[in-house]
Amino acid sequence: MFFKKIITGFIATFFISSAINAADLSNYTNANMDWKQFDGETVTVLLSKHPWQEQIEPLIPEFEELTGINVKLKLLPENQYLTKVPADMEAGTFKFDVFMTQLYEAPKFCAENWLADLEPLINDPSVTDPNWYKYNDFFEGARDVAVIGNTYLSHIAITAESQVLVYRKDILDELGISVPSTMDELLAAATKITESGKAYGITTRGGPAIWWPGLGYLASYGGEYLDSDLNIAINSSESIAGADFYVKLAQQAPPGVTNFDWDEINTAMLSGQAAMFLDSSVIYPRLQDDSISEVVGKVGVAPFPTGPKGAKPNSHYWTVSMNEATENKKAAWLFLQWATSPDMQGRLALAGILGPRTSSWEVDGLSDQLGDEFLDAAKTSLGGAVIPRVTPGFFERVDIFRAEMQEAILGNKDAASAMNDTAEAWSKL
Amino acid sequence: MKDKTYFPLLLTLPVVIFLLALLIYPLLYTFTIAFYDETSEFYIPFSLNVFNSLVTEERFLKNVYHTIFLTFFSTSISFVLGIFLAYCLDQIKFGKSIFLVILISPLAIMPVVSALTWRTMFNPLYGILNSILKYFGFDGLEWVTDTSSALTWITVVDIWQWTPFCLLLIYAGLKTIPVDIKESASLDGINSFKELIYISLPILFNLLLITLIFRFMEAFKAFDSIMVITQGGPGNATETMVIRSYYTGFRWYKPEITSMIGIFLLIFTIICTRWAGTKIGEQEN
Repeated sequence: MFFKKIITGFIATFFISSAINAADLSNYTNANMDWKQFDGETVTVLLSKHPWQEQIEPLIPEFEELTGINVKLKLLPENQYLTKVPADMEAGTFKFDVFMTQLYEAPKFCAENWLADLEPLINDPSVTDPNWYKYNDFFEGARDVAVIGNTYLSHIAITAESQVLVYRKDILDELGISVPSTMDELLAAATKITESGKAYGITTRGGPAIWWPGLGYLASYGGEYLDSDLNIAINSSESIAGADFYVKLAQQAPPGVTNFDWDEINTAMLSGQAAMFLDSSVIYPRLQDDSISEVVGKVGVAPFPTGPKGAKPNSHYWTVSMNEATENKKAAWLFLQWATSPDMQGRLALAGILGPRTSSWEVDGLSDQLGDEFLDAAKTSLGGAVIPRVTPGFFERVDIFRAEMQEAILGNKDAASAMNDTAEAWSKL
Repeated sequence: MKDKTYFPLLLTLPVVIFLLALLIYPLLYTFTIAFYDETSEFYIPFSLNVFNSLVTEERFLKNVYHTIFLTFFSTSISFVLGIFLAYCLDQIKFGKSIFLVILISPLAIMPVVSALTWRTMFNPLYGILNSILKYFGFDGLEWVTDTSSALTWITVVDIWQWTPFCLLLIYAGLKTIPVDIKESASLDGINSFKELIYISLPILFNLLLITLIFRFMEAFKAFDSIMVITQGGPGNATETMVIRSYYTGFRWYKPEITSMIGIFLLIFTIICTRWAGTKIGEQEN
C-alpha cells in the first residue's frame, strides 16, 4: 500500500514536471519586447514556502535563459516570512527586489511607501507588451487587490480562491430540493434540510473569521464594510439586510456555530453532518479524498447564489510585489511579468495552483483534472468576486463585527441593532 | 571602616540593576505609554484620555465584571474543594498515593492540551458531554457557545485545573501537623471534622492564606484556557481584562490601552495581596 502510494507519487510528479518542462520559450519570445535588454544583471527574490513557490521555483532557469538575468532566490517558512518582511522593512534592512505579499498588509506597506508603483512599468512599452501580458485578463477582484486600500498598483495576484456553494447531491435529491441559485432559495433549502433531521442545512463560519464569508452576503445584498471613501457602511440598510440573512442562515448550522472556523466547517462537511457549505473553493478537492472524507462522490458544486444585488462572493489572493528600493526596477519587472504572465499562470493551474486570470481557468487539460462542474462554479464565482476594503486596524474592526454577529446569531439582539452597535464601536476607533 | 559599610551594598548591585532593568523601567514605561499625550494642555504631556475612555466604555466594564466573576468563583470554589479533598485524603486509610496521583493529574497536563480537550468535550455536536446527556434522554446543552453559559463553564474548567494546586499545598500542610495533637484531640472526644475546623486549619492559617493568594493571582490572570476554548467569545461573553489586553496589544497594536489595563490589573493585585501580607505579618507578631 505504502509502496503503491510512493510509486503513484513518483509517476504523478514525473508527469507534472515533464508537462511543465515541455513548454518552450516561444510562448514568451513572441511578446513584442526585448527580453534580453538586462542581460547579466541580477534580481533578488524572497518567497514564502507555498504551493505556488514549489511549482514556480523549478521554472526559474527558464527565465534566466529567456532574459540572461540572474535570479537569486531565498525561501522562508510562512510564519517566519510573515514576521521577517515587515520587521526588515521597518528596520530598513530589507534588500530583496521581488517578494510575496498578502492583501492585509497592503495599507501599512503602501502608507510607508515600501512597495513600488507598478503602473508605470505596465504602461511602458519598452518592458511590457500589453497585448501579450493582458492585464485585463485578471479577474476584477484580483485587479482590486492590486490597488487595495485605495492605494497605487502594487500587488499582482498569483493565486485565487472564492466562495462557492458545495452541496450534498443525495440529500437535496431525496428532499426534492433543486440546487439553490438565489439567496432566498438557499435559506429555504437550509431550513428544510435542518427540519428534515437528515443533516444540518448548512455549515458556515461563526467564529473569529466570520467576516470572510460575511462580506459575500453583505455584498450580494448591496452592502459592504466600508464604502469607496472608506466611510463606515456596515449599518446601511443594504448591509443590515445582508447581515440579517447571514444570521438566519447561520441559525440553520449545527449547534456551536459561534465557535466554527475553517477547520470546524470542513469537519462538519467532511463528516456528513452538514448538507451545504458556502465558503472557500479550497475544500472541494478535500471532499473527494476518501482518507478524510465520508461523502466522496456525493457532493456537487455550484456558483455563489444570487442576492438582490447579484452574486458577489468574497475572495482571497496571494500576491507578489516589488520593493520600492529596487535599483533596476525594469529588470525586476521582467521577472514579475514573466511569473504572472497568462502562459505561466495557465501552466501553474495545470500543476494545481488555480490562478487569478480568466485564461488560467480555460487551459487545455484542466477540466480533465478537476471536472467542468467545479471549474464553471469557481470561475463564475471568481468572476463576480469582491474583496474587503482593508485599512489599518482592519482586524480590530472585523473582530467587533464578529462579536455583534455572534450576539445576533444567538438571538440576543437583531441584526439591525447588531450592525448599528458595530458602526458605533467602529466610529470610536 | 567605610569600605565595610559599602561592600554589602556593592554585592546587591547586580540584583538592583536587574530589578531596575526588568521591573522598574518597564513599569515606568507602561505608565508613560498609558498617560502620554502630546496635545495635552498641561505643562507636561499628560492626559487621562485613555483612562476616561476606558472606564466609561461598556465593554470594559463587562471585562472587569467577567474578571471578577471568574476570579471570585474559581478561587473560592477551588479553595474550599481543595481543603475538602485534602482532608478526605488525609483521612482515608489505603490507596493514598493512587488517589493523590489521580487528583493532581490536571495540574500535570499542559494547560493548552487540557483546554483543547475541554473544547472538544464541550462541542455541542460531537462532544462527549452532550453524548452523555443525550444517552440519558436529556437535551444537549450549548456549553461554551452560548453567551449566557460560556463564562460559567470557563470557570468550571479553571476550577478543575487549579483545585489540585490547593489540594497539594493544603495536604502537605496537614501532613506537617504533629500526630500527637490529633491524638490528644481524639482522646478528648472531638470528632475529626471539628478537629479540622478548630485545630488543624487555624494552625495552617499562614499556609492557607498563601495558597489563597497564589490561587487568586492565577485565576486573575487566567489566559490559556479562555484563549483556546472561546477566544473571548461568543460575543464578548468570556472576554476578561487579560484577554482584552492581549487583543489590544498584540492584535490591534494599541499599546496605550493594554498599558492602561495592565495598570488596573497591577493596582488590583497590589490591593488584594497587601491585605494578605498584613495578615501574615500580624500572625507573626
